[in-house]
Amino acid sequence: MIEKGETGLPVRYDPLLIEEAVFLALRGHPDAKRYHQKRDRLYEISDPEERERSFQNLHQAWFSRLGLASQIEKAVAERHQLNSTVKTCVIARATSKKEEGAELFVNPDEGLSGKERRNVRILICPESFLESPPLLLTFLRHELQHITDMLDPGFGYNPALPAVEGGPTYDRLLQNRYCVLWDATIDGRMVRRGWAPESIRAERLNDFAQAFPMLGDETGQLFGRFFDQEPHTHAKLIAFARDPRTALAGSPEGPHPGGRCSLCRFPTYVFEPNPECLPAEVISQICQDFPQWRSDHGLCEQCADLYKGRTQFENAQFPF
Amino acid sequence: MSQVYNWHLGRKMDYPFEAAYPKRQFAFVFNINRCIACQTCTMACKSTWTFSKGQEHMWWANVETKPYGGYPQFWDMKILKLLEEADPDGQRWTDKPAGNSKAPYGRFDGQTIFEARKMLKPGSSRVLGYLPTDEEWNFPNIYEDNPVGKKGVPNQFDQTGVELPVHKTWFFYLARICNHCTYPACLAACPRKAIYKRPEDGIVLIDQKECRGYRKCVEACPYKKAMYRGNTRVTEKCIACYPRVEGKDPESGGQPMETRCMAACIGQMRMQGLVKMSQDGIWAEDRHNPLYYLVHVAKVALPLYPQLGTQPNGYYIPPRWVPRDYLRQMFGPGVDGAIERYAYPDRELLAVLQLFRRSNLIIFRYEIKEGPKIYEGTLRGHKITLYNDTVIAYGQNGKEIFRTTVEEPIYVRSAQHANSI
Ligand code: SF4
Ligand code: SF4
Ligand code: SF4
Ligand SMILES: [Zn+2]
Repeated sequence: MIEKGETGLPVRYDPLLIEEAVFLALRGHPDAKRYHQKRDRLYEISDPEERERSFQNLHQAWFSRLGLASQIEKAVAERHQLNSTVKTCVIARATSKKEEGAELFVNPDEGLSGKERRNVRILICPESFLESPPLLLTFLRHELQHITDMLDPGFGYNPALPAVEGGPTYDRLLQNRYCVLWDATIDGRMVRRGWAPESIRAERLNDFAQAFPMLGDETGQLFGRFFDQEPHTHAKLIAFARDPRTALAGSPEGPHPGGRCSLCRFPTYVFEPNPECLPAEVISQICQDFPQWRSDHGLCEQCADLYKGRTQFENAQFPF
Repeated sequence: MSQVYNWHLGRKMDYPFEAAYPKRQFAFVFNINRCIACQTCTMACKSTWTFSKGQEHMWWANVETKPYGGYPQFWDMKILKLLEEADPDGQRWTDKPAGNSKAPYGRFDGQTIFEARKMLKPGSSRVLGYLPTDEEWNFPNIYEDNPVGKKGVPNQFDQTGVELPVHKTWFFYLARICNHCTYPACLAACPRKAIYKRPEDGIVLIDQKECRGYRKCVEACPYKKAMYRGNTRVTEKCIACYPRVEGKDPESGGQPMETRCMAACIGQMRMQGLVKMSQDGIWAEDRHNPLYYLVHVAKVALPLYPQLGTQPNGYYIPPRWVPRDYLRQMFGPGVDGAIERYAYPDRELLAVLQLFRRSNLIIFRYEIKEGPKIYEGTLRGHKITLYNDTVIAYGQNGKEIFRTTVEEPIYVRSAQHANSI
């Protein structure tokens, strides 16, 4: 790892990332020949450790010379909050665009101070250094906002999302919705600081609409609460991700589209329209299984069908 | 630029070096119809040559599901697209496949990767190519078994049985290694002349001491079979298991032996040999060499993307069930004839097809001893007659390696072991 950054948060670079970024940046570059002349000679150093060191030094020198570090340095320097809360920031090589992003690692050793325990790792593809500059800077600013939020006591981040009724599929759904909301709050802040173009709003709104299809006409207005307003807390984002209606209305749970059937506990958009009008026999069948159930708790159409069917079956006359 | 004769293209083409041909050429025939994508070949190579640190993403031998799969991802689409940009609408063949071995597939009038002048800026590369990203190298078997569905009907397969000649829902397995090309793009691109082609067997090797990791070969090889290794900072590629081909494997008794990936083939779809070259770059006539027979006489085995221009030495018997336009793009204009002859094989072809994987020694010559007629009938309107001929394989030293028959021998177990394996 190669250290950089004279003041503030120390930034360490994965030599593999540096080497690859320099290699790509120099393809077709007028200085490529000079670089290769220097580099070619290093292959002849017989001591493997010395050779490795020499390669790393050369790549590091050209990394700076080509100005490849500038966007990273800028993005990190903007986050002076991190100086007092994080030990180092490590920039390493991502093997795919999907893998790119920032993560906060916390050492479980409680003997260390809070700052000593925390490290930030940012994964970047070497190709990303060559994209038109604002792209990498925008990406880094967004990622570092996640880290800043995580470290902000006001935000109250908790890495373990609450368990959801319904199993792993719903865990993933919750996680996805939570990310959509958090990203909306971050990009909203970025636009207000002039760090992201206005057009990003439409992208986040699109993500939001896909993650919360049940909001219908209110989608745009509700999206604004996340994108256009601040501050936000982790707890409120989670609450909305779990159950947007309840979170908004603060109302008690009742049958509402997207809510859970009080019997089978599966989320549903199709509740039995008038549960109080079900035949008495059906209601009594339900109450045999669910003694606490009242018709205003509602039930899904499938459950209603099941109990209607069961009553019919019990009343049926079989010829045998 | 000098001019060299490329018989795959039926014409001369530009190449950065003067032509020079080996005495014999490492070559192989893969019968796609028989590959089951078991990846035994892939693992045979990996466990022999690329199991070390820094080689994790390196697969000199690989098997990909076509059309969507590829290692690196979309390698063929990407290079074909670049060529199309270089020569819009010009990548075409003229003339019909003919009998002569100087132009068996007609003439290719488009541009090869050495000729795409519009895209080759002076001072940069000598060869049209591109450098794949890490991501493209990372998933060697991506889209395994993903078929192409019916045209215009997403997520729907044919509900009922289908019949040849082509299936509407289809995929196939393309096994690939370095083609030890006659006009290697990797060699042409290397600024340090670290890549060479051996005069004795045409095997293309990278001199590990000379390579300085410029990756020009990685960029230039249209088949993407030169691979950079990060921890040693040099590029590596398939070495055609040259110690085996040289007869240095202890098992070989000093005779040339087929490579690891060939010998391991479960589907028995691979045969490798050393074909005789004549000094104009054409294969010298060698009527009873099985590879010569399959490529030049029966013409059932075709080069992979001949239009790229490297004159690759891997030949493929094309899959019968795949739409022909796709196959013509991949194997050139010889496809229709090759499939026709493979689907209704004549007496000699049927015998030669029995030679695949009966031994690990390289076959230099075969001989057929005629046997009795065992079947007569019609297949999709074609008259078919089968003879139980015996085919005999001979090695480099002229000694018989094995003999086998067209009809598979049936072994009857003794009653004592009738139900055991
Ligand atoms: S397939 Fe590629 S690596 Fe192999 S000889 Fe041809 S150009 Fe070189
Ligand atoms: S010929 Fe040998 S080195 Fe080349 S792919 Fe096959 S097993 Fe690997
Ligand atoms: S071993 Fe043979 S059958 Fe198996 S994947 Fe390789 S080429 Fe195909
Ligand atoms: Zn229910």
